[in-house]
Amino acid sequence: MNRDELLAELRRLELTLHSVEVQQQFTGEQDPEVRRRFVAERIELSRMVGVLTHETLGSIQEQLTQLEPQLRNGIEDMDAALESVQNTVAFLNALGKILGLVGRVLAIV
Amino acid sequence: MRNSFVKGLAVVLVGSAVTAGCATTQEYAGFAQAGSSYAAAVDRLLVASRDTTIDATSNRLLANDAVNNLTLPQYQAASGPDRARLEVIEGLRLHADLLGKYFRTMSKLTDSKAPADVQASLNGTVGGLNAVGKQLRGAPIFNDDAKAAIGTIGQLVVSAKIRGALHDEISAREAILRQELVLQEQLLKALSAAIEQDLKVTTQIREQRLVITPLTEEKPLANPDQWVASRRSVLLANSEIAELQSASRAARDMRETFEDLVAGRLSMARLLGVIADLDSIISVAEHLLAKSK
Repeated sequence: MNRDELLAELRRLELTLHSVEVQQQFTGEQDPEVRRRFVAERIELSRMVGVLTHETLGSIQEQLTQLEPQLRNGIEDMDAALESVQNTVAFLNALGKILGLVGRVLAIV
Repeated sequence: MRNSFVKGLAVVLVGSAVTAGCATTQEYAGFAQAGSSYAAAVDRLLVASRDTTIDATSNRLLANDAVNNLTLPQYQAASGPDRARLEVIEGLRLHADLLGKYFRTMSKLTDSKAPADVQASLNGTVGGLNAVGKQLRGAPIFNDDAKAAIGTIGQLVVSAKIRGALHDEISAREAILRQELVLQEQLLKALSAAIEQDLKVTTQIREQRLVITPLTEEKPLANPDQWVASRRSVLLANSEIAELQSASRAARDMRETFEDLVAGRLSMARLLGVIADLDSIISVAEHLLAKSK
């Protein structure tokens, strides 16, 4: 049984222990020691489900975090490409204005 | 929130349809829009999972306390994994935020108005040159046809530059993006399973506490209308569990969308599939968030 299968099995067991029938049976149990032990075991089972779930999500998060520098590089590269395109537009705008000015100066002269 | 995701993607898809045939930049635009909507949808699901985790543990504590009075160490043992998971969820949200920023930056590039701006600029430049020509030799340098051709060529050159930058980005980051999307698929699968368990446990406990116990007690129900509402809420929780299973397909579809983009065969049908799955994620997340308020 691998970890995923173990987690699935523990989840199934937890649902059984929280079923209406089991809850009613132990709520009506007269022996306080039986009730105490049942609750202790059920808490431990839920804790194990929580720990295994946390480990799974934590492992994925760790692997995703390792990719972040590359994503940041991508953002920087695309920003630089956009700036380069915008600079081309700005240059052509400036050139057009200068030529317009030259034309007007020549008309005066 | 839900409408804005889908509307944004729909605008890109309409653009793709209009310009079908020369759709390379539109394909990048569709992928970038789907990616940023995906990141936002995952963030909503992470926020919802934060609430379902806390609520499920609270319900477990109440169920256990109903059997035997709980102690402080028992409370702490139950709360420990919650705190650890909340920390991981915050880390995952930060990553989703970065992923969203990556795709939004790509969208800025695909949606750039630079090609149209260049055409306008070149028209201005040619106009300036013609004014100079008129002064120097009494006639414009470029006729109207030449003027239009220069503007169009400039537009094409800048469009090609943008497509080149997008192609370079995908080529440079192909392995990383593939890895990212594989991990996203694992994440949504694990997250969906965790939320599903929390919802099932919560539903069972709430049914016992809010529906069965008050009904089977000797004394009459204190508030029958409240009981009816509680029972409806408990029974309808199952539909959210079913929706959650379809939501977990979204990451797989995103990965396949990426592979199609790399292979140069990204289709409208594929993007529409992603929209449907993103809609499922957002729908589930919003239902869960509305319930926890």
